[in-house]
Amino acid sequence: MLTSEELTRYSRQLLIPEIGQEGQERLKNASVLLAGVGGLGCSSSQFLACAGVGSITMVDRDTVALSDLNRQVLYGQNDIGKKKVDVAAERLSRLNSSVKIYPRFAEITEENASKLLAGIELVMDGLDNLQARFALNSACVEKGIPFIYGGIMGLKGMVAAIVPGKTPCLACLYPRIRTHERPFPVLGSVPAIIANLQVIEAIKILTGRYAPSAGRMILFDGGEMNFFRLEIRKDETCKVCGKEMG
Amino acid sequence: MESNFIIKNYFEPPVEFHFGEGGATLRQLLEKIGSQCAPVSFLEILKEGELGEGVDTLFLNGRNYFSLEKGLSTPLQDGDRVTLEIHIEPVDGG
Repeated sequence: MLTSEELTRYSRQLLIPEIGQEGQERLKNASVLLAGVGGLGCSSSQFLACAGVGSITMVDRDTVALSDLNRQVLYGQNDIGKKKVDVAAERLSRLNSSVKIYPRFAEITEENASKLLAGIELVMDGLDNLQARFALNSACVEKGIPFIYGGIMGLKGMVAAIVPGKTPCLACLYPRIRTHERPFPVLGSVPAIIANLQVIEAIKILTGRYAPSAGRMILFDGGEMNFFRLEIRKDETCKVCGKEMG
Repeated sequence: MESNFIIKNYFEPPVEFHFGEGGATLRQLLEKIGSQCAPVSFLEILKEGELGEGVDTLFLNGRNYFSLEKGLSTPLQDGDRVTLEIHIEPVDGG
């Protein structure tokens, strides 16, 4: 049940027929893992909290650096050197104190990915490397948990809602891992755009609506100011989801 | 001229490309594909005039491009069938 305060707080999104009270209650009871609280995670976490997602577990291995501040909008100059998850948890609690925030200072690996998903309903990708993404993708496929992929580079970004059993997985799309040079170029508003598209996908899934864009990938090119939507296909030989979907 | 244009794992539209009387080389065909494919900025079909890393396979009438004497400078004939498999690299920053 929503409290009278919640009915007021979320009144504008309750007016959206696809959300309504039932959807809002689902959000309130939802538990999301936010993998990475960098450029993507700083934006997505704020809108997940504002939307009333009941529980957000944040995992990140980094501390705040001066070079993060062009895009990681939860942090300020006084936070340099602090653990990102701790600062983010404090800021998000100020945004919406009814949301339970669980900060975890850790690196996501193949060894711990599955454990991190205990009790989790959906995973938001805010990672900065493909190895950790693939580890989470495999764990999500294994447990049947939706994974909202997001990635950025320079003025470009990509989003795809991966729903195990219904859509191809990340390993279908990218059977090989290529490591790109670090540090990667990025304009702060690009991860904000991609993160907010991820949040829309997440909220549709959490409120019980199968995301219409699932099975598709959205590409954003800020240089040309273009969006593209591509069909994505399952790889029948995929080592992660081939049998599961077969 | 008929081309079979496949973007691996994404979509598979059959695409026809037409050139003037002078014809075209394989390289010019790839340049044209690159300029007409919508998400071109996400693809690397050609890099400095040679095959880009985004290309998985390139066949001309069933023959692998690597075995063509003139490579990308091979002139195309009317009715040639070109099969191209390309992929879009993930962006992995966050």
